[in-house]
Amino acid sequence: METIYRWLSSLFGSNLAEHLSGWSEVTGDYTEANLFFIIGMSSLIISIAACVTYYYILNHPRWNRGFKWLIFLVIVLIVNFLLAFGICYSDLLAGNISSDISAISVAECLGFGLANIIVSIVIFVFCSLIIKWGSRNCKFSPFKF
Amino acid sequence: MASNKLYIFGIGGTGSRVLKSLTMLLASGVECGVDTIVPIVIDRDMSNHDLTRTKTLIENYIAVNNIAPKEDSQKGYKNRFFNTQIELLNNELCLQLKDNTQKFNEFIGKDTMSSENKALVDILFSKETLELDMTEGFQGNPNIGSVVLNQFDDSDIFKAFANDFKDGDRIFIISSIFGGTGASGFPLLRKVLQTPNQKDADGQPLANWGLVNKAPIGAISVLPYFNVGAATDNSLVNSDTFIDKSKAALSYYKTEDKKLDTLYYIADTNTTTYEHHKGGDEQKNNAHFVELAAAMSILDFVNPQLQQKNIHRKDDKIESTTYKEFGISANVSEIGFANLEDESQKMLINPLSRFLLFRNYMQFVFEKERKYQPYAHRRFNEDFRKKNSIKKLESLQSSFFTWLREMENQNRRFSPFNLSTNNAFDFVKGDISLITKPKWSDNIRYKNWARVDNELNRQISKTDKALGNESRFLELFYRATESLINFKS
Repeated sequence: METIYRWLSSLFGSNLAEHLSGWSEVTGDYTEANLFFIIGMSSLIISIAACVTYYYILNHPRWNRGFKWLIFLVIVLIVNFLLAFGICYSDLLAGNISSDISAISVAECLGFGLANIIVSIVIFVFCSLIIKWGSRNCKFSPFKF
Repeated sequence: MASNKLYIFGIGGTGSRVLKSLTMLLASGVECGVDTIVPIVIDRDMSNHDLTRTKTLIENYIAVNNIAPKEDSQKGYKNRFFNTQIELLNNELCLQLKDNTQKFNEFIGKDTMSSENKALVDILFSKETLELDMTEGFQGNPNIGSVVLNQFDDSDIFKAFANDFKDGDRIFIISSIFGGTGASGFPLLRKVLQTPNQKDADGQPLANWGLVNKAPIGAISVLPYFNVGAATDNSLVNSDTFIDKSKAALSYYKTEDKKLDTLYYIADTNTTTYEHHKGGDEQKNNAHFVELAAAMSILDFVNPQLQQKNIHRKDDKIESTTYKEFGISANVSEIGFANLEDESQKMLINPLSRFLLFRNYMQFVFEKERKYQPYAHRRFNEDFRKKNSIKKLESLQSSFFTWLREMENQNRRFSPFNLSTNNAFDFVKGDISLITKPKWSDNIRYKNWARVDNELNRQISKTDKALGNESRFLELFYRATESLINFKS
């Protein structure tokens, strides 16, 4: 999970990446909780849950249009953005970031939220492609194959 | 008793209109005790609009029947829409009378008669009758019909009928008793069909005539159920004479006892008055419930479960004629499903409701939803509706709707459906319980047409992939409508 986020570290910078990796100034090692994993798994679960809801629980003949699938995607992106941004920003506000990591700004938190949006798009699209076939009413939404 | 044919002779305008109602019933998938219907219309008025409407309808039916999968539990086909085959002899619906003289006095050759015979003819027939233009039928004159129709056994279709006839096939005759063509044609036709060793005009014996002679034979005689307004031209049709003519014909029909297996009668005292047209393209009577009930008599006659009631024979001889009439539970001016007896409800409710749901879906929903619904994906695309059989299906559905609308606009209205709704499930008037209750979860989630789409998407995987697209379309819609509408008496 961390590897995927590291590919996008240009969006949020290496300092925040260190914090999210669980760097502890006390131990001088990555012994704190790995927030990449927590945020990544949460985003994964939220995206899959939204996908399952769209294709199997809602599974509605009037919701099988591309733009309605897009509504679900946008909701997932907003939730996952807030999750990623919120965790970083709350650490920033609470002073939970190690002093040996250079100062982190709100912009970097927003950048991580953006990175989580990109990850969430990939997860939601990938998940849609895998599970859509079992849906009675939405199997060709949004992909026409 | 399947795999045999019922030959239906529809005589005159009423014959055409009853055949139209029968075609509508068969399109909607009513149970029919034979697998093939062979309609033959006998009418000298070839241009009457009722006949041309029926002809177009039957041609459309045949085109759709050709692609309809037939109910077959071994193959897993459930479709009953267009389940019964309709076959035309020599690809013609109408039995063409070879003589085409226009006036009655020309037909009987009055000009070439001796003066004594001319005087006799003048006693028997009025001047108006002798001058009658027969190209528009007999205009309520059974006396001339009985003279002119005597020649129909020489037509090519009649010969084709004899050639085609097989052991086990049956015959049914539809006629009205209060007009010209039907009243005169029915006893004549019955007599010809039961005359041994019938020969054609060349003196050649007709094929299979022994089988025709002994075939089970039923008939319906339609008594007055409409009036016509005052004539604005030289027409001889006069509805004031309908009752007297019916009485006279009925007294003659007494002689038909034991010559028919089953004779059905139907009439309606609550009549609609139509505009007066002596015939031709302007003779276009709206559909009437009496015609629908008359069509049901045909299905009653071939119902395998009613054979013992309908046919009483010993050694191929008719022991007694069964007489039947049709009635509704109360003398109401608006007939709904609730006014029909159980047997009629069982016959009509599911087929008519399912076919109307199918028509309404095509009318209101299909074009919009086919782009999105999985059942239509890569099967029923924008070119699908341009296919000949689908165009004919939709044309027939449009006629079906018009037929229902016309029956609703009579004095005695047949109005079991709300024809002005665009919604999926409020089109059946009265007891809505015939719509199958969905699972509670489906009931919460799917409303109105979404429930139909959900069912179509569910049923598509149950249809045979080997079927062609048009066939699969019919199978799919039958399955879906059957699942959504299932009246159990």
